[in-house]
Amino acid sequence: MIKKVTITPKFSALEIMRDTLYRDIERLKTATKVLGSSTHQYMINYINNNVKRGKVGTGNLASNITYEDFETPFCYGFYIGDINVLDSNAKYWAVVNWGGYVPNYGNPILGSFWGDPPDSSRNDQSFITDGQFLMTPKKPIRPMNYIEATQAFLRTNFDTVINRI
Amino acid sequence: MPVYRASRNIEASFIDFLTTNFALDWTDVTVEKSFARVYKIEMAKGEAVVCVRLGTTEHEFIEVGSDSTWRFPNVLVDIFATSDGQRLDLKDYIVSKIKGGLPYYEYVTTNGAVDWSSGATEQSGRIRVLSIDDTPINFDNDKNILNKYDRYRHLLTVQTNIGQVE
Repeated sequence: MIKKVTITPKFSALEIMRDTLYRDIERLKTATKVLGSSTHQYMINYINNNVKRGKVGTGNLASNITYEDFETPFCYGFYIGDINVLDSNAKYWAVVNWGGYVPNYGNPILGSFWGDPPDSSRNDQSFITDGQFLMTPKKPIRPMNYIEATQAFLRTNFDTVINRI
Repeated sequence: MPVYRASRNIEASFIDFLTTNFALDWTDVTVEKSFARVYKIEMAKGEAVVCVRLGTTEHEFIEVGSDSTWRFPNVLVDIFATSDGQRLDLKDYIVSKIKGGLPYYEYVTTNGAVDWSSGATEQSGRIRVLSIDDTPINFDNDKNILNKYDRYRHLLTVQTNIGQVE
């Protein structure tokens, strides 16, 4: 004779799910922290390595790319770059990224190339607004697209992080 | 015969695809590949310029231990319009045309010009569009102080893949 057996589960599906998810969230948070700081470093390196004029540049833009993060029990997030900081300390951040006729939007501007007047035979000096010479920009600033490059870096590496979890 | 490599093929395929579509559906839109050259175009009222450039490219290994890679190039489409309405219409038009992908050509040149004769430049699959970032470029809220080229600009960042293992 077949007996009917009833099995009463002694576990909570909700608890198991919560434990598993929490473990994954901790791993994801750790991986995201590493990703955040490496993305920040990538943007700084990208700017420093793609200076158009001058071997080194002033380093002002790269040094003003800030990194901020926040953390809650179930979340970790980060911000790279603060527009308010950039607008006050490196206000040419936008034209360096997207290219165009700035500073002074194509109008005459006072400045120099590391203290020298503009010289078309040289491309190893950066422009500074020290008020020495009145000059009119004739060529647009070429775009560096450091934001777009960093976005691509982040997207690809975030996919890698997700695949590993 | 000289041939383009993958990066130039992608850039040129984009330019040819957009040029063909603009010729059918728009008037007074020029497609350029050099950023600096855009600023030499007269750009009278109603005329717009679209500049296509290849940005950074990510190469991902297809599996651990393999030398084969997938290529993920970022194509940057800069829009230089002469009014805000034109800027919005152009970017929506471009997005609608490219989002389904576009033909990928392997270019062959003869005497410095693209050779379209039979057996030379040929379609070799399609460029897949994986994502599109749609960014207005606003240097200043007061458009009057901006140079005419920089007043109504927009940038589309298009992540692509040609679906070929290299």
